Amino acid sequence: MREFASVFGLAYALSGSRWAAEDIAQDAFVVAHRQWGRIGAYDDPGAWVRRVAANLAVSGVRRRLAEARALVRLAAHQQQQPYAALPSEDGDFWRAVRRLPRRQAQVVALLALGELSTAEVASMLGCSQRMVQVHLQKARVALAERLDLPLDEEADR
Amino acid sequence: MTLDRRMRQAAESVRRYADAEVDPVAMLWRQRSRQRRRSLQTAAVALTLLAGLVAVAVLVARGPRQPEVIAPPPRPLGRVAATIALPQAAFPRVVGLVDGLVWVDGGDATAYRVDPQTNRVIGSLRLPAGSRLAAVARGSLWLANEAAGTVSQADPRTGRTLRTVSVGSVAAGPDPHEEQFGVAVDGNTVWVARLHTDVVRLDWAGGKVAGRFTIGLPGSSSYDVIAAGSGVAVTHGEPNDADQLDPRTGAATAIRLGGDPAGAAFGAGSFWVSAQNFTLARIDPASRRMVATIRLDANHLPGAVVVGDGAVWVFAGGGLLQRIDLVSSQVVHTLAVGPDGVDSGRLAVGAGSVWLSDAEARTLIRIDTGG
Repeated sequence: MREFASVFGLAYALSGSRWAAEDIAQDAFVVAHRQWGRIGAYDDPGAWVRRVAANLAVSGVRRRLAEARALVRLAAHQQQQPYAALPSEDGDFWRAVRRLPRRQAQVVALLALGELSTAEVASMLGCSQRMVQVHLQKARVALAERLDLPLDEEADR
Repeated sequence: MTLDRRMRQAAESVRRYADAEVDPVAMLWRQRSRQRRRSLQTAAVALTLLAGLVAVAVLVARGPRQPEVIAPPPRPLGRVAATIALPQAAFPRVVGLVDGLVWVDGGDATAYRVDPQTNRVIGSLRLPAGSRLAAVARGSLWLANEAAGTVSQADPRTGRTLRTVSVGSVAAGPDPHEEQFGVAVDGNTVWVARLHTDVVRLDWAGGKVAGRFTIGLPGSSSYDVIAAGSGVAVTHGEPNDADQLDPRTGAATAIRLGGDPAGAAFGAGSFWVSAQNFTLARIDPASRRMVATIRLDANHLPGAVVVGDGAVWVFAGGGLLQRIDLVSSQVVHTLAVGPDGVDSGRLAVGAGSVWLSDAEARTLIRIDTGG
């Protein structure tokens, strides 16, 4: 369950939709289940699932389909339960992340949420560690500008 | 508050949110509901098809109708004509066509030949150790060896190396499939984009380096795009720019795209550069200006570009092939290719088809261009 919450969180950060995130996380685990013969042999099957979820979450079509399915579901069952949202400034941060190019957004989300190293993210995304660093650097510069925040820790002291 | 602190705070906020929102019982219930709904949808589709068949049968039973005058059908749409398995290849990437055969780099120092007549692999060439097939042009294979820092020309029939020129080696990244060298051939000039280093221009007849280009501060550019034609080349320079490299002046001219370049090709007298802001730029090499911006599908990040068969073809992540008319510079057709997840970093066109490769599934996919 802990793994599911982690994948759900990643999908939520990248898609911006609670409903889409739930569907994306479910889809990622269903795919993993179907291909378990191959994925189960990996050192870290969880990383594979996070990669699938990260790819699904940045695909606009998939995200919209997942959201549409979830909203239909919601309407059909007339759920009235209110759902919480992120604090506004955290929501603003993830909105800015979602406006980044796809790879940059994935790198930021995986590094921030997964508490992973750049080597682990590189392995997960199938690119070099150097490319992860390039994406991260570009993303940090863009985010600092959009959110009007200083980049370095020194400025905070 | 710094960016890093805001990032940590936002991540913690998402973790708390995920822990609070994930309810296993509710999700299992919703999953079952979804399965039931899909069953109902399947039944509805089956009933609709049945009703359609009955309607057709009734019309046929009524006898022939007067022929109608209708407009000629539109140009046939492309379709996936074949999916060719390459189980022996480690990480197949389609490269191009030579002498009517499709060439695929196997990712394992092997190049594979596919015959479009039969859609079968008809042979393979063992490449020199550490080499990969980077390009096909001028009836030859062009091999890159990043560790040795060389580019070679090879005979496609025998695999014999005809010439090798050294451009300088680069350190390999942790991903063995990352292409550290991009190779583009324009007449007697060979351009080599070394990913994080520079772009090297080779005088192939002279067998020597004729020039090197860098853009911005050392190490600040990723030369991950290269295309050549009309005596010049286009690469990826500073963020959101394409740069035209001119050997006559030794200068790089920045062309603002609005997004990072993702793929480039030369054809019909122009450079065509796809960018991450979901556009395809048409660049006139003579004026060094963008003469058209074509808006691509906004839900799929564009990548590889190829020109051929009267069109520009752009492949976008998630499996979307887009066809752009050379005259009108408009997207005239899109085709969803394969299941979600097909991601071809390369495209080739020839033998009446567009060819792309799915490295993960180890397949070569052939798409009819529709004449």
